Amino acid sequence: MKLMLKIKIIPLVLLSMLLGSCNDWLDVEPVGVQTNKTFWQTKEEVEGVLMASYIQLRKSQDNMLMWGELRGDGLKFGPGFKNQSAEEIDRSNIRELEILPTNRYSDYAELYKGISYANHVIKLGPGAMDYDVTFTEPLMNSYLAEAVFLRSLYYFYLVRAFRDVPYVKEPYDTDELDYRVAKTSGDSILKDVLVDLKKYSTKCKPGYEVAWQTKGRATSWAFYALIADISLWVGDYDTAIEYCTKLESGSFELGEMEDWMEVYYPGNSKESIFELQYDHKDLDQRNKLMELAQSGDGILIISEHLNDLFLAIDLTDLDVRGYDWGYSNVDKKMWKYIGTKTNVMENGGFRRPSDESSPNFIFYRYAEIFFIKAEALIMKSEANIDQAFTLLDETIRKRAGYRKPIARPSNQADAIRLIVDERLKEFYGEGKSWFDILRVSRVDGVGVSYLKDCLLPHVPTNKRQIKNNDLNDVDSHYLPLHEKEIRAANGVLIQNPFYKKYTDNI
Amino acid sequence: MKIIKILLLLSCLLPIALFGQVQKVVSGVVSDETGTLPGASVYLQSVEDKRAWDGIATNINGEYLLSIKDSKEYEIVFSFIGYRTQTILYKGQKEINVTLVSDSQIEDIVILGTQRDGMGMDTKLTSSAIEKISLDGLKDMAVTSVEGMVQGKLANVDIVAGSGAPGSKMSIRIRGTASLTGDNDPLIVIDGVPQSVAIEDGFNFATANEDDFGTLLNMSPTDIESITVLKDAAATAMWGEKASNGVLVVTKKKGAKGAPTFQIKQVVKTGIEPPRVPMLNGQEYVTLMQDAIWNSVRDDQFSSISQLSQYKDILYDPAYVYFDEFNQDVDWLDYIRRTPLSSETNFSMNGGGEKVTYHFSANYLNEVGTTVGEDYSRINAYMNLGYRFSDKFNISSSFSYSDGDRNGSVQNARSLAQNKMPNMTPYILDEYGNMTEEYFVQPVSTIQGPGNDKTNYYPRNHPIAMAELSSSRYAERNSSMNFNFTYRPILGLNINGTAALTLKNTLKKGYLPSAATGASWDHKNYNKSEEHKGYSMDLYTSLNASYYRKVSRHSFTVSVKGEVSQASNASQWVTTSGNNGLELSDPTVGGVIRDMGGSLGESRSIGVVGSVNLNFYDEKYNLEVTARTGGSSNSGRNSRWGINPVFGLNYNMQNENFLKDVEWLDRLIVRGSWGYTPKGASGNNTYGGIYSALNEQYYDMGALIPQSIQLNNVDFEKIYQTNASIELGVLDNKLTFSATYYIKTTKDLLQKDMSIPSSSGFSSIAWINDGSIQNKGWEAYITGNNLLGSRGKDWNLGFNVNVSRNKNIVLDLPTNLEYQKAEVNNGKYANKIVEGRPLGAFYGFDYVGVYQNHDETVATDINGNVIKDINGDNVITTINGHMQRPGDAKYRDLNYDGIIDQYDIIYLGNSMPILNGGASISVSWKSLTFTSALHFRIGQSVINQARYNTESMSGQSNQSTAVLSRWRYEGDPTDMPRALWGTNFNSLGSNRFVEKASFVKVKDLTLAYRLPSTFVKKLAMKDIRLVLTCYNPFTMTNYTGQDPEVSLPNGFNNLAMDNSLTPNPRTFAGSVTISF
Repeated sequence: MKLMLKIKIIPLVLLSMLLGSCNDWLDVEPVGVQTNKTFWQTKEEVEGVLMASYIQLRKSQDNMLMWGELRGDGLKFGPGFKNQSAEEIDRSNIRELEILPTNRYSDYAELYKGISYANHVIKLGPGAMDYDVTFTEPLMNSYLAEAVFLRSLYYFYLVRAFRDVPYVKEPYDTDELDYRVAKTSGDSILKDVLVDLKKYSTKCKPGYEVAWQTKGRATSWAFYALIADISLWVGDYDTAIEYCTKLESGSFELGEMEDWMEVYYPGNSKESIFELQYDHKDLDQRNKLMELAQSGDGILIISEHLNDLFLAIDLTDLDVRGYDWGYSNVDKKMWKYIGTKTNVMENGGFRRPSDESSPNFIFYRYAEIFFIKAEALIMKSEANIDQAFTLLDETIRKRAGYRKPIARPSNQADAIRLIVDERLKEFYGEGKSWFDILRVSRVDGVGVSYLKDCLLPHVPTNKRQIKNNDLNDVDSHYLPLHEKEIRAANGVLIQNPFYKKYTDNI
Repeated sequence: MKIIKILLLLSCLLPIALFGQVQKVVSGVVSDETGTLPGASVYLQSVEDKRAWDGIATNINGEYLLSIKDSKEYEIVFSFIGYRTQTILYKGQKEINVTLVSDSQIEDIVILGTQRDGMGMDTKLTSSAIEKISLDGLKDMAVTSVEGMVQGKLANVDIVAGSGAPGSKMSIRIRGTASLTGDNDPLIVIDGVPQSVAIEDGFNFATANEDDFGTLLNMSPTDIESITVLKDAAATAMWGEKASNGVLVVTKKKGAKGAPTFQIKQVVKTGIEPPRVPMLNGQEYVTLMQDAIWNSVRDDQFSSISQLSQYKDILYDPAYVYFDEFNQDVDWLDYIRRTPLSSETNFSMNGGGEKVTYHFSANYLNEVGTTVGEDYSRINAYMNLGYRFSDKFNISSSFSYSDGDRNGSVQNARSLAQNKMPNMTPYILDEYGNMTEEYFVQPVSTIQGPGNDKTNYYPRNHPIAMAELSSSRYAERNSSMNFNFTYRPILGLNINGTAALTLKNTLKKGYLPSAATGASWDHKNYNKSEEHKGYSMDLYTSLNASYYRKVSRHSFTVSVKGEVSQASNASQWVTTSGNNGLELSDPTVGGVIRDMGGSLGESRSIGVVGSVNLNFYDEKYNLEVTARTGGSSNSGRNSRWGINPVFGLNYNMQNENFLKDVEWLDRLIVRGSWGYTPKGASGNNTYGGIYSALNEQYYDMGALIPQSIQLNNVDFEKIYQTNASIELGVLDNKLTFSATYYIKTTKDLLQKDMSIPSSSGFSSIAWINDGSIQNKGWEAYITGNNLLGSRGKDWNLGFNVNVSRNKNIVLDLPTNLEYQKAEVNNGKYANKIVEGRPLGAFYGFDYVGVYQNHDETVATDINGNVIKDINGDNVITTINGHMQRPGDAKYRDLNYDGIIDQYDIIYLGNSMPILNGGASISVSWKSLTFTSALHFRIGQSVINQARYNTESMSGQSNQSTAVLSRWRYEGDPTDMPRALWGTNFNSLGSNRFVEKASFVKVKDLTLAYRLPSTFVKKLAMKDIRLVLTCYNPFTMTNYTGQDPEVSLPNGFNNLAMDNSLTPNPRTFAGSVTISF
């Protein structure tokens, strides 16, 4: 019996050994790349993926900028805009509210790549500590915090543009996770994002040893700014004010009026909190932003509305952000991205050197903190109007060159509209205008009519009536999901109801 | 020194010492009818294992002397090349004299009945679907490829030629399309070695396309003995998952025992193209263009009136600087067509003695195309040596080399010529208006000025310069070495081993001179050159053991086979521009590098097959069970080892007692089999999650990205095949009939690079399993051999008819809607896969003619009432927002909404034939033989894209004379829409361009004459044959294009389109074959 058992077992053991070694022989590792098996073993790898998430911000910049500006009020298409290429047609369709699910600006794939890289770092990065002894816990926490910051920033943009989107916090390193994810409401996404941000804000470094990194990578200050901004968006005004106040303990300051242009050239100024870094001269990283501002006769230039806002100032006053300073009075190009000094008229202006087509894209600078705080104060109570405008008078407007305080509006709605106008003068071309309009359109007394006043002038006259009706539907304020997403998700992703009519046919 | 001397002495003494051991000697004389035979071989062989011992050759007088050791039983073998071998048992004779009989009186040995499959099984006992064809009867056909020879000869092996250009690959489908991965080609096994078909990873399809690869293409058909097709699950059990689309087993020629035979064959051939589509002449073209522009100017209320005078090249303006140049009447195609003269030379040598057999052949082919610039040349060398150590052990080894070289132009010169404006001169005119030899470069400002830069297509490209100067070359060099041994240690046990090494080098080189494109020196296409090099090495070994035993009336065979293969490949490519000419287009010489890259890959696989074949009651009932397991480095560990079982039953009814007396019946076999094949994903390491460096930095910090998702969930594609057949043989098997029914279902279809929601952070996933399709059908053939003839009769007749039907149905739709795209645009067809419909189906609009007047453009509802808008006005039918006007194409508005859109798309047919097959006949009378072959495909549709190109009238290309009947005024009795410049929807993808392409082609007419042997003998030759043959002489079809034989699309979502490539010419050839 024993012998029989041996006779039976031995071939089985031999066979399994044979198959086992065959299996090893059949594992052929690819050349020149790393696989799941060998990756996530050094801190450099963790940081490398983290950097990819920053690079994705660059690739998302066009989306982020256009989402904020095309339907906004500060810029319009210049003579350089020929409305010929598919890209340009998509842009003008967004501006004229002819938004189809095939429009490239409803494609959010680049942002989700950035989210995916961040998710990889958050989930898989800590594992590298088992292999790399030099990878310390504080360093890991700092990387985690940066990844959380980036993911939050991406989602904040997605929610503002689409409202409800798939909320993914896991990396797809294997196909075991279902990649068909339904939408989550924008409100609950931001709620969760705020929890994460608050948790990690203390783990992030306040600064880096290398100068550009302190402005170009997430810091605890960038966390505060983002928390304040999101809080303002979701209507948590106390938190917004709280985090604005935290930033006052940093070393940020608005410069002098004469130094205003330094915010853009050379960038990474004293008031900068977080900006996307480019370097043309040494590293050949150009920013398309400059091309947009100056290519041909300018693709995006200052709108009449913004020009009028600047023209409306008292003759005895001055605004460095306005014509002949922040933009050129002749061709209405955004000088902030083209020039090096404020006065454009001197010797035909000081242009950026030809090897510095690399203005940074600024996400947060100190100036915005005052606006957030002022708006939150007003939203909390009409009684705070004077306090809020005093804050702006002493900071933003003083730096811009105004000598007289602004006239105090009498009610909350007027105050909010005034804030938005002031914000437009400060942040035109920085991708914020439409989000401001959308945010305040929810305020009583401002309402959708304010949003319509801003949008309908962009629409050809024969279509204004239809679009006027459309805009009553809040769903129309958000972009449709791209049709390829709807297709690929096979019924799991539901199109924004306003755009249903375009999606049914596939 | 001393030592050496001693050694020398010893070595001299050694033979003497050995001689001392000799105890017996045998001697004698070898002769034939005429006298003694010097040089005949005489050797000792042990009776037990037929192993050869001592041997000697007869001296000048035919005498021999052999010494014999006592210890064994011996026989003495006498042989001489050209004579029958004699074996005589040695019983101690002192003298043996033999007379050898000349070999020429010996009939060829014909092995009947016992064909054996790859596992050493008699085909009479197997349950699988096998069909075999010998290439010997096809050797006179005027084709250069194996595919061309067997086209229409094998049931349900659908072979279609896409182009008549020399060296074009033909597509092969065995029992239809069963996969969505685009990998539907059968596996090719040459002399027991499966050929790798994998295209290396990261292959750059911008510089090469799949059509360039063909294992069969580079082989000379003259080296092939026979081809066996395995169609069902037994194929995959035998050869693994790569065989799931069927297998073509190619057996090459081997040396045969006999006097050396030398054969020289010389073929000369030429070809004529089928009649072509008549095109507009210069004046008609100019009128058409003016008409088109005028219509568009009138449509937009004269806001673009300047267009009327914009193009001076189509106006009568003698002041125009190129007035003469644009008032010509040129038939562009005439300049790039030619009557080709091609040749093929073949030399072979075959023979062998008792121990060694050999076959050697060399082949040189030079085929010239009917289009200028297209040609194909091929060199083949093949050598096979067999050595028989004994009856128990023998080895064979072969070496083959092939070098195929195909030339063409970078862009299809034919379509350029067809599109080119016929009123323009091809060459610069001198002062008297006569053509010079310098190409005329079309000015940018003309109507066929710069085209769309993105598509890289330039209407300005010069067709003649393209054909004559541009070069697109594809060369493939193959060398393979093959070693094989057979060992039969005991009766019934057969051990067989194979080792093979195949090396392949490929080179693809393209050169696009600026003379052909008119590109300026700073353009990215100025003197552009592309080069792609690939190297691969495949190593394959297998070991096979089978044991046969008979127990009273029953018997069984057990076999086991193990195989290991390993393949590695590398490639590199570079694209440059600004080169100084074709010869100087190497990137090292100069020029700007536009793109470059390379790839490396390796794959390995292991397979083990076991099979048991049980035969009961004198092989009346047979049961066959085969199982295979195999693993490949292409699959992840989760789905690497699959079991591939096949069960088969075989009932030899002719062995039944009640049929024993039926004399005319030789064979009546009923077979049935079922098998399951798990098929894994293809490609190197596609399952692994990969991280790679990003070619970009964040400021100065490098970045790494996860590039692909690791596939843990991907499973095998599951293929289930059921096969039932009946085979009948009568009249000494001279007439055989076979019919087969099969069902092949593929579940959990593997789909490559599937789009997934971008919320995952990835745009696609390498593989997923989804959907299922089914192929079912039948195939039947009847073959007659040697029908009229018997020895001594003058007449002989042989024929073969085969018919097959394959029906493809999508059972389950893949859950991804990526395949449901509809585009409303000229020449675009909806991309759809619909449950219950076949793959490759066409969907588009229903074209119903032309709107004759304004009233007809008004949209009506289902009751025929006019649809009104909010203001009470009539709604005009629109397409993509454009209002339709009289003269525009009218499509059926299926949902009566006044808008022609994706809701109005209908099913238009599909590219799968209802029936396909072929027939061949061979009649001989004395030494004259006539053979003919047919090939037919019935019931399939194709998109006549060539007709779309020549009848759509929407661009500036020249059109066919069919457009002369275009609509111009109300009441014109025509269904050809008006000419319209700019945006129009007059040629949407619709049934207007989808045509039935059923055809019956006479593929071959051959007359062969063998010179009388008495005459040949006088010339000291063995045989002389003269052959006249015509390939592709007639086609019967209703198809309006040049050739209804349109290539099958590569991917499953590509549609069968006739793009007017070089049509298959009628080829006439003559050849002489001399054997001596």
